[in-house]
Amino acid sequence: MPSATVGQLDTRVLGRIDNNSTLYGQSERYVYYNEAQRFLNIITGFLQTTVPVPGGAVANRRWYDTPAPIIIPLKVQFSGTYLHKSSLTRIGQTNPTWTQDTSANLGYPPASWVPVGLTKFGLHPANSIGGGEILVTGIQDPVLFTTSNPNQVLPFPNEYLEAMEDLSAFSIQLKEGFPLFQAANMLYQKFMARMGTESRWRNLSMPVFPIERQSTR
Amino acid sequence: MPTTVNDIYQQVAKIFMEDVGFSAGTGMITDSMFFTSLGDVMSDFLSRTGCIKKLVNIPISFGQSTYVEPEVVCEVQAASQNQTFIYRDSGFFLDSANPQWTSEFDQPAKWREDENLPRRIQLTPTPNVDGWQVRVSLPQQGYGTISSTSAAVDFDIVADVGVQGYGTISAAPNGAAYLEVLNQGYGTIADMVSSTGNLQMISAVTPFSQTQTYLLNYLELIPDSFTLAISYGVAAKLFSADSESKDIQRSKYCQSRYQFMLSLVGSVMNEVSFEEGEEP
Repeated sequence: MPSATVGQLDTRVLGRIDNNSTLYGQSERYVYYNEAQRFLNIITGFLQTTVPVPGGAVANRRWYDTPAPIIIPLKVQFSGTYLHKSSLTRIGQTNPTWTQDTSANLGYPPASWVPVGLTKFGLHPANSIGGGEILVTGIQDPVLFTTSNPNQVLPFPNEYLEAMEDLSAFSIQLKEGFPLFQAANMLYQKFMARMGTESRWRNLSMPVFPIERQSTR
Repeated sequence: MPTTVNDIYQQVAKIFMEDVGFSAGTGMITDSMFFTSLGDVMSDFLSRTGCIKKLVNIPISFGQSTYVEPEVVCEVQAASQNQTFIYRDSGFFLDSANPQWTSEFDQPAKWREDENLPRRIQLTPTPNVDGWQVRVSLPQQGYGTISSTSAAVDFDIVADVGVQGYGTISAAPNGAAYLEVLNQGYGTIADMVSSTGNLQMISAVTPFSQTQTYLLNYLELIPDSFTLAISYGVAAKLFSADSESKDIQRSKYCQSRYQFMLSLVGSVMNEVSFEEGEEP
């Protein structure tokens, strides 16, 4: 159960940057906390939810927007039934008239969904009778931290507090000159090494850290 | 709260220790350099990840096989003509399978983009009918209500900050439609092109405006969770620019964060866009 707060994260990050809240103002720090939670969330896919498409199915309509707050749609249900995921090419090959097919002329309700990028999807066939519930399951955008609410709880399990601290404390030091920034890069390497084992995306390869050592001579 | 251009501006300016803004600060980097870099990075991100797609309709004409794609289209992923899927093909295979393919007239069954000028799509067989368009009467000037007809669909209407547009566009006739307006919502609605009878493309898109110049604008098309890629992409460009702020090491670092986001979103798209077992 998550219980660590953004205030605790802030205290830990300040400890890493010499408690210098003048150089690193509060609003600036929170930008990096939000960046860290979004970054960690996309890699791990932790925050998933199921939300209805507002208004439900519209008669004969096949294109729908991915409902907020979902940013990466993963599954779609129509009237309580999970739909088969297809692709734009595959469904065109198997059902060439899919952009005009409806449940009335095919005789069955929506059976497939087709992602159109991340922000739209299509149903096949389109439902001829409006009103059916469309539920989309996917990864959602996290609720952003605000400086006015340091008690806001981090949405991840407590063991990820350290990962967020590492990433935030490193990223914020980009404004420092290169030697100081380079000295902090172990934090980023540590974060990315951890993400290498936590990624939910099969094809994702973690990068080799790019900062080159500068000669001291 | 959607991300604005100003959010990116503030973050990048603080990385360069220009807390009061670029032009108001030391001036080593100008606002203009920032806006140019932002436009470049947004276009690059959207075209390389293909994470935002739109339905774009083009009216077809009797006897015309090649059509110009709108500026926002960067890669066509699928196409249909008169609401029927048409297959992607290439010049080489068309030439080999049917040497006379360019002289055939019928309902288009295939399309290709290769061996053409950029942003051109060619249909084969060449259409033997004109597609269908809704002409909006000139006196209406985009102020009124387009009353019509079937299910609501998305329209793209780009306006400057503060321009709310006049009137309500309630719906489009006969399926998904692509609406193009002149002069930022004030001018004539030139055409409404229905998918019925015409070419419909589902394509990855880039922003309408290559140069983002209004700080209060929302960051066009980029999902909020991915905006960190834009910050690092812009910082990478500015760190590598010829100025007092030039810092190749930090530029490389920012570029690597940007590249990783491209790779991450690419992996997301590979899993989201394709059926289980289907080759990307």
